[in-house]
Amino acid sequence: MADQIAVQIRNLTKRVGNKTIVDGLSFDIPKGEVFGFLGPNGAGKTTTIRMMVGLISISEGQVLVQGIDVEKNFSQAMQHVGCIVENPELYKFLSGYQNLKHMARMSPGTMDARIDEVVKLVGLQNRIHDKVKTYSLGMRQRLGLAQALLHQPSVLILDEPTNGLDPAGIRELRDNLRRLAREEGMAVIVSSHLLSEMELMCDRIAVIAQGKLVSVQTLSDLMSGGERHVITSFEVGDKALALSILNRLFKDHVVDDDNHPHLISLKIDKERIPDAIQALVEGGVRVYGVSAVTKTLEETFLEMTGDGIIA
Amino acid sequence: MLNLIANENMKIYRRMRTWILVILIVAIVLLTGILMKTHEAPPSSNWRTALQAQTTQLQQELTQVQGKHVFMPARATAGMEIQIKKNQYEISHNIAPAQYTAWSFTSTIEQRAIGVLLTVFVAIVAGDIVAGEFSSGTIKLLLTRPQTRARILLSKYVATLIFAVFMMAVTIVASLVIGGVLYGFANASQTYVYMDASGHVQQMGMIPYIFTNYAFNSVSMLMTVTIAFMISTIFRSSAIAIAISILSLFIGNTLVAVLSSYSWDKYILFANTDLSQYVFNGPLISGMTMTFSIIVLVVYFIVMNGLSWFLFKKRDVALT
Ligand SMILES: Nc1ncnc2c1ncn2[C@@H]1O[C@H](COP(=O)(O)OP(=O)(O)OP(=O)(O)O)[C@@H](O)[C@H]1O
Ligand SMILES: [Mg+2]
Repeated sequence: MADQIAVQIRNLTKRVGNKTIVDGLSFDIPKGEVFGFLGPNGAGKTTTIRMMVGLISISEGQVLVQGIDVEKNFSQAMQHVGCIVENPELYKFLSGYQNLKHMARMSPGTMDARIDEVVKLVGLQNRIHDKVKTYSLGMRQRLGLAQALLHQPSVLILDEPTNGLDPAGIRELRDNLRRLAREEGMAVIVSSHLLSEMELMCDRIAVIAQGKLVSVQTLSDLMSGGERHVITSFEVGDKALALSILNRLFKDHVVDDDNHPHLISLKIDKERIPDAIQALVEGGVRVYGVSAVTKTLEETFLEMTGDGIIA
Repeated sequence: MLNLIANENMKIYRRMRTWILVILIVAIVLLTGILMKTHEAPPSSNWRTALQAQTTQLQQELTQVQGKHVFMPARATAGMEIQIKKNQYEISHNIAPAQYTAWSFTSTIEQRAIGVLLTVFVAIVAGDIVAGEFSSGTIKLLLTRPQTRARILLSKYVATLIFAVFMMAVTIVASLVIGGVLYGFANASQTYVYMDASGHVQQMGMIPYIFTNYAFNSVSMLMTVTIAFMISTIFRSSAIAIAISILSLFIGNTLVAVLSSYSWDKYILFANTDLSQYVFNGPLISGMTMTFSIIVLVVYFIVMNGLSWFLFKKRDVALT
């Protein structure tokens, strides 16, 4: 099992002055998983990623890539890591190909044939010999991804990779990342503050807020966690009668929709919804509709990360 | 390591800016050559007699000085001796005065036109090669690959020195070619007459003289590159690095002069960067020796590069 784990993060902490920006993060990322790193602006996602790739020093804790300590054996560890931190960084006065060549020269054992391979992978064949300054944002993102994949890393770290991509581009990136994880067993770490993106891309999501880990859950757990206490809304004929019946059965769980003459909401477990319907019908209340107001993932997320005020 | 240097070279020579600097150098050499050629006074038909007369006069004055009839400072008599030797050389080799050859043109270009400019150009590249990666964010590419930061910095240092040599080669070749076209390559054995540090008049071949000058210029260039690297790693801004290293080039000597009343002024870097003072004309501050200056330079070199290395290695690469 241990060798199935690509990245281990142990009590990772970053302090600047007396401010703790990242506070004791610990989690593991197995091979073949797309792992999401979710948090509002200023949560410390980029800071964590910078520590993982050695751009900034680690105040406390450890990052292990394929069991190698990033701080102690930097060069060895980085052979396994491809990354884009914040933006794809490119030399605008060089061509796309020269940018890749530049990257290849820094990673021992990267052949020219591999350059052609990644160019195809990101679909830049037709423009690869043009200067990067003539590229669109999306093309730069693609070239950045090509750079990160060039040396065949087993761990891919992308900070806000969908920035500036159009819907088709996002979809393509998503498919690419999923395929890399599935087929090549790569561990892919993606950060974002957009939950909707994460939903479609990730197997597991770590939510952080104000530098602290709030939860690490699989996507389905996160979803069902949100659904456990659903709010169900009933559209009824005689609201007063319905209220008296429901109040008897579900005392503190009735949310009276004062504004609406025919709507009553209940905050109950999914399992008990049929009971409520049965009681209403048996009590002679005409029920026109029942709808589950599922708490969205978005709401779950906001609940976990606080009120959105930047700390 | 060779791969890293190849990368740095690619980033220097694939850039328009570099070739603008090269073109500027060639243009300045060409322009200087043309101006000198068009303003050259045609040698008068009796230049030999005139030179001979001047030489005789100077010799008479010298004998008077030596006979203690007239007082004259040593520097002035040395100047006269230099003039006499030059005249004699020109008469015996049939070179009309103020007539250039490709060789003397090349040395004049270095001395009067391009010498400092070369260092300025090298400072532009040196100041940008580290700081530019920070301002463009590409530093993240360099520092997230399996290479130590020390190797990255060293590769940049080496590439800058290669660029300095390249620029000197461009200048020498341009001067020789343009000088050759304008004045011809005759008199390759021409000599340069000068006063050495102890006040004696000496002469050396013009070609060794050209290379001696470039060699001394390289020393001050090396120190300018070192300053640019240090400022780059402290401020991570090309503009500041380029400005300070170029400024140091121009105010360095002034600084030494202004502080000349202090006894520690000889420890200032800029009092020592021009090693040619120990071969030609004598030291700026009396009592200084070549060995002293070399030791001072080595200490500055180690301290400044050590600081660059330390800062580059240790500092966080944060929010850009
Ligand atoms: N060098 C620094 N000195 C002081 N504070 C810093 C420094 N770098 C980052 N911070 C602070 O650390 C916090 C986390 O920043 P970080 O860039 O990691 O956030 P993020 O999660 O990536 O946010 P975003 O979604 O906006 O990219 C922020 O409050 C930021 O102001
Ligand atoms: Mg960020």
